[in-house]
Amino acid sequence: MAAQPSTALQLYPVQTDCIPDRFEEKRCIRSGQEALASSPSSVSVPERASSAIAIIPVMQWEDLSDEALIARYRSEERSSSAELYLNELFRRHHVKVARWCLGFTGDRESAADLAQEICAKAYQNLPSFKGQSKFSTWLFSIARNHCLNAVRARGNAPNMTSEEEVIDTLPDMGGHDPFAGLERRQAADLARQIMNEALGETEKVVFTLHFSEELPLDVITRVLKLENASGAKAYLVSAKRKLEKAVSRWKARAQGAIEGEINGR
Amino acid sequence: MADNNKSREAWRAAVSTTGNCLSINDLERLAESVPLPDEKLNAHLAECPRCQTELAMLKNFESAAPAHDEGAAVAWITAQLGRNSLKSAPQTAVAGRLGFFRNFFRNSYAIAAVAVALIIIFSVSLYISEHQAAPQLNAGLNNPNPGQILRSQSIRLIGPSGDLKGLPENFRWDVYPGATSYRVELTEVDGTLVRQETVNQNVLSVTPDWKSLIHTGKPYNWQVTALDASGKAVVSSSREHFRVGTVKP
Repeated sequence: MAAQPSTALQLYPVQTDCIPDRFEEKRCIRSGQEALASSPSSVSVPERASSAIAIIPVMQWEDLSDEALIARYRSEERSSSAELYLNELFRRHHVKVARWCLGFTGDRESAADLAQEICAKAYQNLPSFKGQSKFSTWLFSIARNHCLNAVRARGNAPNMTSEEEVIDTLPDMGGHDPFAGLERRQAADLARQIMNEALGETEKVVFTLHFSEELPLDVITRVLKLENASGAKAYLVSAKRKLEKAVSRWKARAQGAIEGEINGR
Repeated sequence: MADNNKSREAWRAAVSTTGNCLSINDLERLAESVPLPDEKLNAHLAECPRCQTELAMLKNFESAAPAHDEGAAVAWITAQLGRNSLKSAPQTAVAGRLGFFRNFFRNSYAIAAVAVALIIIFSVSLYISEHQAAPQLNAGLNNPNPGQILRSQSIRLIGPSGDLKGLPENFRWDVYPGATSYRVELTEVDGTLVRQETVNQNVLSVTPDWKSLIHTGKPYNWQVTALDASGKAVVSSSREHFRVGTVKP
């Protein structure tokens, strides 16, 4: 079993081929301990120190990365200390998860329920964490999907924007739809191009969250921590107005190009 | 109408995931200001509102400090999380049900409904208790008179009682049906046991041993417990008070 982090100094035999990294750090400790355990009990500490022992300060919790905590948890999963590593791991991210959930629900009780569900889901799926991303990024994926699903499942809540309202607030294309006659992919590319030309970064994000994820505006305001008076609604109204103008300009340019082509003939 | 549908589709498609969207690992690198190895990925990010949104959400998740107006709520939630062990964490469905009950009790009308229900339950139980036939109190004992119904579960003590001129000759009480023996306890008024003895009859002679423990002027209590054949206590009397030598002959 690996030693618990403490401020004390402990003696660990050091293997010269043991180079700690994010996931191998626990292997060093373990191999050191195994060597220590296999050494004769009658050998005094100075004798052992002279053979292959160095003094290494035992790490504190802060010295262990998230990934090192997971590695230790996995290596000691059946021991009583395994849960300590896990508790420390999740304790580090409680605030992130709490803030995230509070943004989605707006009240602390529901947010606590959501946060508890997210932590439980992360715990249950921990075996599938491969370390290809940071643990917090992996946790974000779980939190993001869980909260979006929860909002969709509670879509009949009174403060939820209805589907009709969502559709009606899409930009008005006027008499001539520039997307008419285009293939789906071409239409999407054109819409994306117009968005990038016309909208600011926050406007694009609000627009995307509202129309793609169908998040209510109050949720978007809280999740993005928008501090202006009208929150996400102001960005959405602004985005819609800018897109309508951009479409008009695009149509004018297209019309001019067509006329130019005709005149050229 | 067809045109309108087409434009809706176009806007929705523009903000939907494409096959070229960045992976979560790419988004993580960008959130940490690590440049992406492939220029195509950077170009895609510049054009894709969806990836820009995902990146904004990831950055938002990673930012540590709660807003000024949510600090207390975040602290409360983290305290709740800290209290619950991960292994004992409820499954989603269970947590959902708990959430329902929390919401339920958050509403004042729900609390009122619960109060009304409790009043009804109390009233019904009171009505039943008043109209129910008196139970057979000697149930469980080997009653020699099965038809006899005892109205008291206590043993009636006969004496000694009150202030006495001299030491009592015996302790006496009524026979309790089904009892095979009786345990007599003599205590001081603060409950300290002075002596106890078990007898097979409804009388205990005050022997010199007993007399030596009863002092003039000192108040005592005594109590009898009926025992069944296995020595198990069936019923106890109330405590009876007496004192010796306080009445002048």
